[in-house]
Amino acid sequence: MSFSFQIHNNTVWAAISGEVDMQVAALWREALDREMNISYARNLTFDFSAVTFIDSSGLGVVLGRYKRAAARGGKVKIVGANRQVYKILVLSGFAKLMEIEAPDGLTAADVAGGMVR
Amino acid sequence: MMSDDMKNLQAEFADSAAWGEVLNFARLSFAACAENVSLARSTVAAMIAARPEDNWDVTLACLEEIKVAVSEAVSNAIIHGYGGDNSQTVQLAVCQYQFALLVQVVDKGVGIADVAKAREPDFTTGAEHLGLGFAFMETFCDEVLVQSTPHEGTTVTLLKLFPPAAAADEPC
Repeated sequence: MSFSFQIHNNTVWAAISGEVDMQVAALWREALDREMNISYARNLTFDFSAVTFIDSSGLGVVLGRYKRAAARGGKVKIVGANRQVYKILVLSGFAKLMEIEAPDGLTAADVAGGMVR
Repeated sequence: MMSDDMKNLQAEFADSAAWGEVLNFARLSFAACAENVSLARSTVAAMIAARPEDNWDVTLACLEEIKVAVSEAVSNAIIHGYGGDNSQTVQLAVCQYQFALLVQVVDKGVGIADVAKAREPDFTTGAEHLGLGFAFMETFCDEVLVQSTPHEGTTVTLLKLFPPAAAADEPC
């Protein structure tokens, strides 16, 4: 697992690789918060192109950072998710909160209804 | 090939005759720490992947879904059962049949007073906990059994069915 940050066009670009579970969640949350504290960029983009697995611990970090970004008027986007990760994101109801780039040949409608209201 | 406690586990399911022969089983005890969430799901995934020649119609998506379900069950045991106390032990049991997979995650932690409430999708005990653990388990498994006694612990049993290839229109 590794993560990195870039600031570009008023957006914090947060890339993470590997399996995003409980083991990674605390460290990553801390790093993201630090980045959001020091940066004036309002928007947040998660680059998931190297994420191989995510569970609800990882999703919790994304949702928490979404709330922070939204509170300061920023937009949150997730790009590069593979089919399985995309499915988990949509099932969780995240597509209603943020823009999620769909992998080739898949749309949110292909994944049965979100679980979060 | 089956240990007695696996037989006890199987006895809780009425339709276990349809699961076919036991192909493999494993039992693992590990520290209730974050690193072992991946240990648990990788163990289950490795057991599934080790038997490609059997009559399992396990697609990549199925495998990934089982990993998520195991991850949620073990994360719950560590976070909620033991409140992050790494010195405690989580037990994992896996029994692999021709047409089914049974996974059990046991903690001897605080237990759940109201299991039905804990299983509701919006139920959550912390600001950044989504309350989606059980929802993922239920979405990705065919059956989820939760037995819990306050102050004694929680046992979560996941059943995933893999119908014979010929009968399955959709493997997942």
